Amino acid sequence: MNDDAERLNKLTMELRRGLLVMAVLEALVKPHYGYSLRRFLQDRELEVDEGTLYPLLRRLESQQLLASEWEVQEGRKRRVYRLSEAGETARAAMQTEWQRLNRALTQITENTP
Amino acid sequence: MNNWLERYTYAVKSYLPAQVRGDVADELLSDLQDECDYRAETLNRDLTDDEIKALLKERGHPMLVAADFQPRPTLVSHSLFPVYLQLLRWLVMAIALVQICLAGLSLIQQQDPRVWQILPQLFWSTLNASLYGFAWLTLIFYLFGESINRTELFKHWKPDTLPKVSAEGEYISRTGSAIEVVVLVYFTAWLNRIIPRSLGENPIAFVFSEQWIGLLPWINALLLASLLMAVAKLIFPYWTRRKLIGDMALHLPTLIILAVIYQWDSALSVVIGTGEHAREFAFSSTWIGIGLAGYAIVALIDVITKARQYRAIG
Repeated sequence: MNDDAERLNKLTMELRRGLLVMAVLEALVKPHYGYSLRRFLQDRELEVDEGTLYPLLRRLESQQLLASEWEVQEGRKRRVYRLSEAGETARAAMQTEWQRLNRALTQITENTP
Repeated sequence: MNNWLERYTYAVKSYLPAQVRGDVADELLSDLQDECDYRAETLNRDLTDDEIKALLKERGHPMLVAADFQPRPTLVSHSLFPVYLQLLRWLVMAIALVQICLAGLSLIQQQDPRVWQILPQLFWSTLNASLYGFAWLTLIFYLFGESINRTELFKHWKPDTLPKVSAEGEYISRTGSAIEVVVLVYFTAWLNRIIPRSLGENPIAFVFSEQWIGLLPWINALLLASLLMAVAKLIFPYWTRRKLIGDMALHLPTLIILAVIYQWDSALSVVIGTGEHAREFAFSSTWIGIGLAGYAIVALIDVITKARQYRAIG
C-alpha cells in the first residue's frame, strides 16, 4: 500500500470508528446477538469484522450502554445484546449530535469555493 | 466441522485472561457456527474441512483474535502524555535543584572543598535520582492516570506566562539531546570512578597513567560545558546562533585535550581478566593519533554543517 492509500485508509478508519458506535447503538434498538448484528450491519453496507465488533460490544457493555444475556435460540447458545436505559439516552444524544454535525458539514461544503 | 471450530476457540481461550475466557470462547464459537451455517446455506451443502480451515484462516491467528478482546493498557494514556511530559520536566528540575543544594551543603562542610570532585558526583546523583523519579511518575500515571483531570491540573495557568517569541532555527531532536545527557553523565561518573571502571565478573579494566590526574579537572570542565549545552538543547530544542557557536566551540578544547594525551607515553591500557590470567593491552600513541584524527574529521564536518545552519538562521 503506498503512502497516499495508507493515509486515506487511516482517515477512513478513524471516521468509521466513531460512526460504528452510533450504528451499533442504532441497530440495537432491536436486540441482536453478535452474528445477527454483524449481518444486519453488513446487509446495510457497513462491513465490520468480528475483531472490531465483539470488543466494541464488550466495551459498550462495560460502559453500561448495553446489557447482554445468554439465550438459547435455534438450539444454540447465543449472547443477546440490547440497549440499556443509559444506552438509549446516549443513542438519542448521538443522533442529535450527528444531525447537527451533518448540517454544519453541509454548510461548510456549500460555503467553500 | 465442530472439531476445527472447537480447536480454534480452545486455542483462542489459551491466550485470554481467566475471567473472560469462557465467555469470549462461547461467543466466538457461536459466531463461527453461525458463519458456517450461513456459508453452508449459500452453497446448499455442508462445508468441507478445507473450507472451514479457510474460514479460520480468514479470522486470523488465535493469539491475534484473543488480543482484540483484551484492553490495550498504556503506561501513560495518549491524552495525558503532554501533562506527564511537563510533570517529568518539573520533577527532573526539582531533583537537580535538591541535588545542587545537597552538593552545596557537602562543599560547605568540607575543610578542603574540591569542586571538581563534587561535580561528577552531582551529575551522577541527579541522573540516578531522576531515573527513580521517572519510574515513580510513570507508575503513578499508570495506576491513577484516569483519575487525573488535565483541565483541573492547569486551571491556574495564565496567558502572561507564555514565552516570548524568538528567532528559531532548525529543531533539535530531543531524543538525541537526552541520549547526549545520559552518555555524558555516565562517562563523567565512569572517568571519576563514581561507577566502577571494570565490567562484569571477568573484568575489562581501563588503566589510566598518572598524568591523567592533572588533566582531569580540565576534562571535567569540558564535560560540564558539554552537559550544560546538551541540557539547553533538551529544554529549548531549537538551534540559535548562540547555541551553534557554543556547540562548535566545544570541539576546540576537546582537540587540545586529545592532543595533550597524544604526547604522553602509554596514556591508557586495557586489562582483561584478573590475577595470573590478566592480559594488558596498551593503547600506543598511534591509536590515540588515529582517534585524534578521527575526531578532527568529525569535528570539521560538524563545524561546516553548523556554519551553514548559522548562516541560514540569519
